[in-house]
Amino acid sequence: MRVLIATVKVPFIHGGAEVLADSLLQALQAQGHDADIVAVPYKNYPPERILDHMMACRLLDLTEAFGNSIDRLIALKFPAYLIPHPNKVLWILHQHRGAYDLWAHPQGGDLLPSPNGHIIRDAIHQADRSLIPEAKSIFTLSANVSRRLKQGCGIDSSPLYNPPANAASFHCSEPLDYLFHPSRINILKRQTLVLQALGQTRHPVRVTFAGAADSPGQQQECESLVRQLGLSGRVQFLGYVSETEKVKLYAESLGVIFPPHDEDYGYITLEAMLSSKPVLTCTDSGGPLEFLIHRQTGLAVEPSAKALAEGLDEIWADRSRARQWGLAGRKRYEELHISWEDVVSHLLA
Amino acid sequence: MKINWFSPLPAARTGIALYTELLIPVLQKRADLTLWTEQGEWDGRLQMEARVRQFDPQRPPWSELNQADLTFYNMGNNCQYHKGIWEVSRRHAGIVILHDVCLHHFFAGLYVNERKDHEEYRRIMAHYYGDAGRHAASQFLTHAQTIEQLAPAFPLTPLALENALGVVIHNPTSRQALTGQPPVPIVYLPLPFAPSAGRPKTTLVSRRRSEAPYRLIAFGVIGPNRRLEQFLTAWAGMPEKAAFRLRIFGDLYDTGHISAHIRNLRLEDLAKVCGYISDQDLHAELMQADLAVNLRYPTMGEASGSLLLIWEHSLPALVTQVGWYTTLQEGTVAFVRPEHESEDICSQLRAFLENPESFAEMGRRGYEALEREHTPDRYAESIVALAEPARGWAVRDGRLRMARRAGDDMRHWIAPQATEALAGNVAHAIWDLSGNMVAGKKAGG
Repeated sequence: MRVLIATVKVPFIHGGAEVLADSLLQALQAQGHDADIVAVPYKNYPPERILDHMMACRLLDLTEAFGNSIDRLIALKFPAYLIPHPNKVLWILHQHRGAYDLWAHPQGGDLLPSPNGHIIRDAIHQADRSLIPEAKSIFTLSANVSRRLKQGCGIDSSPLYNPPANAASFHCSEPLDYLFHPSRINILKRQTLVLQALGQTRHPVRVTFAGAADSPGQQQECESLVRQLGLSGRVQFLGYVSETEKVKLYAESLGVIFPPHDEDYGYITLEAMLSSKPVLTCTDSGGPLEFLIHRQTGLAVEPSAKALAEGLDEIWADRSRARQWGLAGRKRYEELHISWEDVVSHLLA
Repeated sequence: MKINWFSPLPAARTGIALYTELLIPVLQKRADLTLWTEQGEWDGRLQMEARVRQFDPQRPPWSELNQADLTFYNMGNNCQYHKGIWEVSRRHAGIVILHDVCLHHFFAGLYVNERKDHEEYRRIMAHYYGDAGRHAASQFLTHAQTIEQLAPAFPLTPLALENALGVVIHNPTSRQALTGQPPVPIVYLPLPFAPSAGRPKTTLVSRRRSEAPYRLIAFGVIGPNRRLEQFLTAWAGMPEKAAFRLRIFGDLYDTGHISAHIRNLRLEDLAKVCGYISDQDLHAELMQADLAVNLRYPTMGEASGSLLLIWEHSLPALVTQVGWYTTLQEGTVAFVRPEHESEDICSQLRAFLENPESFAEMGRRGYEALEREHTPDRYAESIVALAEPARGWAVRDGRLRMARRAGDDMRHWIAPQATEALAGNVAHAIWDLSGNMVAGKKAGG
């Protein structure tokens, strides 16, 4: 089968979405399909530009390439999923969240502070509601994304889980004295909340952060908070780390802290489970809650510094229980049977 | 439903502030209302009824504005009260309520008087009206023509609607003047009316005087277009003139001139300029009057709040057969044709003398029309009901933005004769994105 993966790409950014598209490509090729990726360049500011990109996607013709028909289009991201195709299947990583659940988010909403943000929002809603149902099947990255799609557009879909990249490389080693927080540094990943929690722990809990900051301001905000709370001996910001380093950091951690605001999916939860580590997340963190079982594979606490501090203390102080939760997490991962074979069979059905 | 309402507020000396004051309680009953004003001060009582927020036109709080379901901008010709409202409306799409269908006074006030930017004034006149507009602008700037002469042909109203989702008008005849420039949905709502604060609504007056002398009344802000001089001249020429007494209240554009005119016409015993009186006293005068003189020519297209006040007192009125007045239900007013003004004034006054009861009946029909068409509740209901079509208008607006964007770009590289063939796909894409699948183009299952 000739299969094209359609997505969008912000030049010079290579994040989880790009990794997922590459992994899907490899999985398709591994099963003998002729597959390729089309990534439409994307820039979402000023908001009026979003309409341009929607229109650009709508004008593309991906039904054939040099006279050979493209049998299946698998579209991943907004607005690439608006590209027309008679055999289109969507695997939606997320919609334009600033038009939906992040519309009124104090920092996360990009449209609300814009003069004609309401017009752009309505145009996105209209396009999504009209054109998403064009697809033969609609899958999403997670139950959380499906819930948002239903809530925002009234469209039914099915979650389709995929394994993290290099899933086989994750393993467990003897833990050192730190919890691991692997994420890009931005407001939605809540590094500052974790720092505030560290300021309230009873034990001298240590956290190692890995991931580059989305903007210098966000890095500075964290550094300033570290100074202000006197945490300099207890936190470490590693910035970007290689895949190998990341796997090692997971393996040697006491546990993984991942408390984002309403995450789409959250490979970090799965990577922690693969590494047999307990996960500390929040009750509003979205994706992680689809996998975590409270007090069996980790903790889901209220999104407050105080509650997170208590969770950090518990994992830090009761290492035996932390180890037990980690092992239970690994077992749960295996029971979920998450595999690329399963993903490909659904997307090509 | 959340509504943003941009308007001058009391105690600003403008009818639009009073109109908003009238609507606040009835809108607040139906929606979560935020009043936005540029004024530094406003009547403190307003805050008892609605949320009042001051805005800086240079830094509007977009996040807060975007949280409402619908934004309304009240636009009139007073530059002082509407310039900030207009600035916000240019950037944040909403529904513009036009209190004047011709806004040339507003834009001339802004560009010529306030900003002293004559070149920009010429540019916008040329933009909307081509060479004729540029020439007219120059005529105005060199005092070769007055603004009154220019305004009807060059209303500049489209400049106030460039980012509008829709337009509310109070005069159905304005629809034709606005159609297609720019192409926005236009909704006619009859102007709401209620007595001024503190006075209960008048009940139907069933009887009027049946014997001469009959009392005529003219009131309000009386400029040259209220035709008072012409009325006095026509009336003075009638042999039956002594059957009437005229009392004139309010702000006269030139009291000395009108008084002299009255003397010259030897009407001193019949006509009296009384000056400004309180609302309460005006109410008493209207109760005592038999016929109101409410001529207006030329008109800027606005609905007449004065006529609604006249109708509240079941009072018949002479009105000019132009603009909004032409849309009034037959038998609710007595018309004077502008091209036969003197002749019609005299014939209507004679008709009154022949059958005063038929005029009293006219006043009662006016009262009924007021009750039926112009209640604040009905108006507020219609305003809130705009939320539903406005959702469609917003989508339409998004579609227009995409079309403009595509058109602005494509015109640089598509020959005009090829536009239809090449732009077809763009048009289809825009149409699809806004929720209207093109037959035969639908992709996928």
